[in-house]
Amino acid sequence: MGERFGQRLGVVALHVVVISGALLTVAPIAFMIYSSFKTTTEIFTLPPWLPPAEWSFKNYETLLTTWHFTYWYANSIIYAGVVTVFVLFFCSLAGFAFAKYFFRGKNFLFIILIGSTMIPFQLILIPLFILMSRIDWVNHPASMIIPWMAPAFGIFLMRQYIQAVPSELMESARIDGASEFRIYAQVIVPLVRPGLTTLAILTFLGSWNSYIWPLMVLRGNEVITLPVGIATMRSQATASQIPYGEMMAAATLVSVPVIVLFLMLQRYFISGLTIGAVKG
Amino acid sequence: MRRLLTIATLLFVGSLLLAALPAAAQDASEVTLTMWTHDGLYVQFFNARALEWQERYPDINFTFEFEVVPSVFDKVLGNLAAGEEIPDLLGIEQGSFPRFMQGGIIESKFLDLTDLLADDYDLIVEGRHTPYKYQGRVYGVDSSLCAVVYYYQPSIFEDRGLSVPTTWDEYLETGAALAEEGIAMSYITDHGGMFMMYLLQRGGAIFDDHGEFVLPDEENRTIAIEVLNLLREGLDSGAIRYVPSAEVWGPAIMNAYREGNLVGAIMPDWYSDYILKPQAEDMAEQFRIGRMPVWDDGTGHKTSVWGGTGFAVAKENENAQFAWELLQYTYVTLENQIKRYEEIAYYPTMAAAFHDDRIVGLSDPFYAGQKTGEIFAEIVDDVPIWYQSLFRRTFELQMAAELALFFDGAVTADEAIDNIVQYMEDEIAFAE
Amino acid sequence: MVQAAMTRGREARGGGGFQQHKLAPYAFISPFYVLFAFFFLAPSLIALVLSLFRWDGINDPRFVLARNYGRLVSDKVFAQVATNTAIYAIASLLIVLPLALVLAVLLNSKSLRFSNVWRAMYFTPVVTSTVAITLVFQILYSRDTGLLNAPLIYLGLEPIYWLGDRSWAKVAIIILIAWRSTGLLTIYFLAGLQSIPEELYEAASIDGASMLQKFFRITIPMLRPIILFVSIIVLLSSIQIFDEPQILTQGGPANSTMSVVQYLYERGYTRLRLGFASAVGTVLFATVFILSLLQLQWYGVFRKED
Repeated sequence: MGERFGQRLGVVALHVVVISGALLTVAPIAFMIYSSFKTTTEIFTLPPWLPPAEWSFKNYETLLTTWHFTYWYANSIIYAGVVTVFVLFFCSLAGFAFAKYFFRGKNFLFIILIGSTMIPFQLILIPLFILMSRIDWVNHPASMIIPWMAPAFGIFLMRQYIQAVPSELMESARIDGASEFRIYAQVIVPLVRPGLTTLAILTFLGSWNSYIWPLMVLRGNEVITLPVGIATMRSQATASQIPYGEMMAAATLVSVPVIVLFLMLQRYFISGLTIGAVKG
Repeated sequence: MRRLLTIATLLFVGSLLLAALPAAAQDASEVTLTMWTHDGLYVQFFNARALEWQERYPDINFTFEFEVVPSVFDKVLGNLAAGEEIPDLLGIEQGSFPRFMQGGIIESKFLDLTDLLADDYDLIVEGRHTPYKYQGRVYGVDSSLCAVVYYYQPSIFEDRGLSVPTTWDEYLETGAALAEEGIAMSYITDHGGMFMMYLLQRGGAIFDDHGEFVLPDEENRTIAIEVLNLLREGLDSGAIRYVPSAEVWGPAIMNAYREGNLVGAIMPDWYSDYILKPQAEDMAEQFRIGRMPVWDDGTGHKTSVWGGTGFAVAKENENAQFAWELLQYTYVTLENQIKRYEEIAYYPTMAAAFHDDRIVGLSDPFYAGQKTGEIFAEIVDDVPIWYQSLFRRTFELQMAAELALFFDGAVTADEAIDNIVQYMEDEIAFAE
Repeated sequence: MVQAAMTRGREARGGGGFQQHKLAPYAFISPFYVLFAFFFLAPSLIALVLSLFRWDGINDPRFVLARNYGRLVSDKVFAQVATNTAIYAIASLLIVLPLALVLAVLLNSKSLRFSNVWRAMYFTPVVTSTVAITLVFQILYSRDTGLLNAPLIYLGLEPIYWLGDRSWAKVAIIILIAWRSTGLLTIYFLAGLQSIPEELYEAASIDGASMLQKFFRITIPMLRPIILFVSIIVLLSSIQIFDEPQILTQGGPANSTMSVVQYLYERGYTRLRLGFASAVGTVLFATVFILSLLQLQWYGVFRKED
């Protein structure tokens, strides 16, 4: 009886902690969404929880009509999507090699890989931009994709996940005559879905949120990406209004697809590696 | 996986093809003029003028691409380093002008406007040329006089039977009285440019006309310490409020106005339409413009100066001539200087405009119909001149840090000046 | 035919196989090295060389030997930003990382209802745009009108000057870092937790192990590779932090929140001292590299059995 009561108390405590933390986490975002329905003046009127005088989608309307928001949106989705697909392939492949093979120079190559993530991007910004200019990639989609197709952090991540896959599965595939690439594609990939999902989300986000690089290489209101567009809105002060409300609307729309993506992919986290391994 | 890859490849190749499409062949009668700036009001004003200006060339079909670009100077300097194209017109904010002085970039990449301005050179006040001078030549045409006035809410004074202070002593006295109710007269922040504004009014200087660092000179040092102590006194009594730079242009200030615990701000002409009006629409008619308080001993100036954006023309661009002509039309004609004040309240830089009926007679509904031009007309003859230097930005950035420490009470005025002088001397020595 | 079968057999035993088995890993990792060499290594080497020069980006560079490094050592601002950055890194490793780990375990708990919903909620900060959310935080941190100070003002207490006080401003940045990255780190841990066989916990329960014992004896050891990965990512990203202090406080007040990368960016671009900025970057890189190697060593990544 007592033990069961203790257990129940634990479950309640668990819920209290998790839910209050979750509410705290969403509060600033709720504030952002809530504010997107207010006028700029209302956003800064105390107390902050006062409702707007009139609930309206005016900020959203203005956002879509006076700014090139749809272009920014489309650009961001395309870049983030394409980069993610390449990253998934190249990183899982290389992560596989580092996790499951012994080869000459592995430690050395691995140190280079780790080391590469330690180069502060701001350090190479100008040299890299000069390079882009030399190969005529300024304001060219390639500059937004090709350099970012195989990030070291992704390889490192995949290596960590693939290490957990039992090596015996590979051995038996080899006995069946599978090529190394086929082992990768048919044995490894299905088993590291949670890892791939994580990587997909992170890569998409990284690209979705990147600011300095697109700011440098892209030019023109119709080719820039969302973060640069929002920064443009921020530095733009028209005679009528600094568009805080519209920016909050923009921020809301920026967050929605990634939340949806996350919800869609979340189930892959649940299908555990071990289940896969048993089935495999 | 394989299907995903195919889709990715298709998308990728497709995007490359799209990007590689050759730009439409340039017709001789097709001209595109580009401009980058950080302030949307300039875009608005240039767009309006460009439509009028293009009538001069009925045979040419102009396209105007004027844009607000975030981190615009980082982007332009990056482009210059890479040999990429830069816009035909660039609005260089005076605080960033030193970045273009480095290595003589301004001279090698932008048009020397000194001779192009010709007779108009003398029509513009000298103090608006000096921020854009490099080795004695002018490279930018400023967007406003940037003379400093006091934006305030008269009702706060009237309700208490107080009058608007005209000297700093009165200012501190009135402020101390209001502070007891938790109301501040104005606010300051940790910004080197704002410090220079107060310093210039007192007759001090940071750099001389050769760009030499003259703050350590006896006279300037004394003035700097006096100015800091004045601010100190205001901070201690609560007459002046310290606002961190992160909050200084935004809604926190507007809220303080709204709640009536902040009277106003000592700020340049651009404060009106760039900062105040767009955020305080609901407080229309509550504000007035008055003069900046003067020093009681009669030294110094009636006003001060802070800010400015000088438009420069990219020398190597094909359309440099058109760009210059448009700039000349938009900024260097009396008519349009007046229009600029009427449309976006950026005060003229040509002396002939100061006393024009259309400037002094203009009544601004936001200030309850006040003829704001009259206030400016009283002070325009006494706007201090300051000089640009390669190290001015370095000064402003580090001074901001010293100011934050000083406002906080962590260092005294003497120590703050000693620290900044030491730092600047190290930086100047390092650059040699 | 026979030959092929024999080769296959040998490979299967993991013995002296060659061809595919030997070459495959190189082929698999090559895309990274090709891209890295061209797009990142070359610019980095250029930056390394540049650190010995004075260069404004446009005119010819001038050789100055170690002068950039000399100024770096003598600049008190650099000492300050290095300290700030170390504080961010330590706070991230000691506060954010354990928080994320505990949170992941809680979210993974079998008795938690609607765990998908909570997970999604914790993840939302990661997906909001940096520029926009920093703006929101600026409003929340506002001394007189901010939501964070609202309870203090309500209780008649002195409001905290979040962005105006040198110490509180650092705290404000750390809170923003924690808010933005806890959810992200939780994702890594959650994915890692999926790979721990349920039987281990069941066995431990039968042996009468407590929750805490299970956490320290099963969860942590089993999550080692992920913890290693996460701690390196945290170290790297916190030492290279740029966005949060740049947008929230611009490094102020009195440089109390400025990070090393902000210093690098400001010196390099706003003062156009690309040589000096490269020296800063080189020192930063060397520091992070050594720290990470120590970390890897400590986790035993270079041991043979890995």
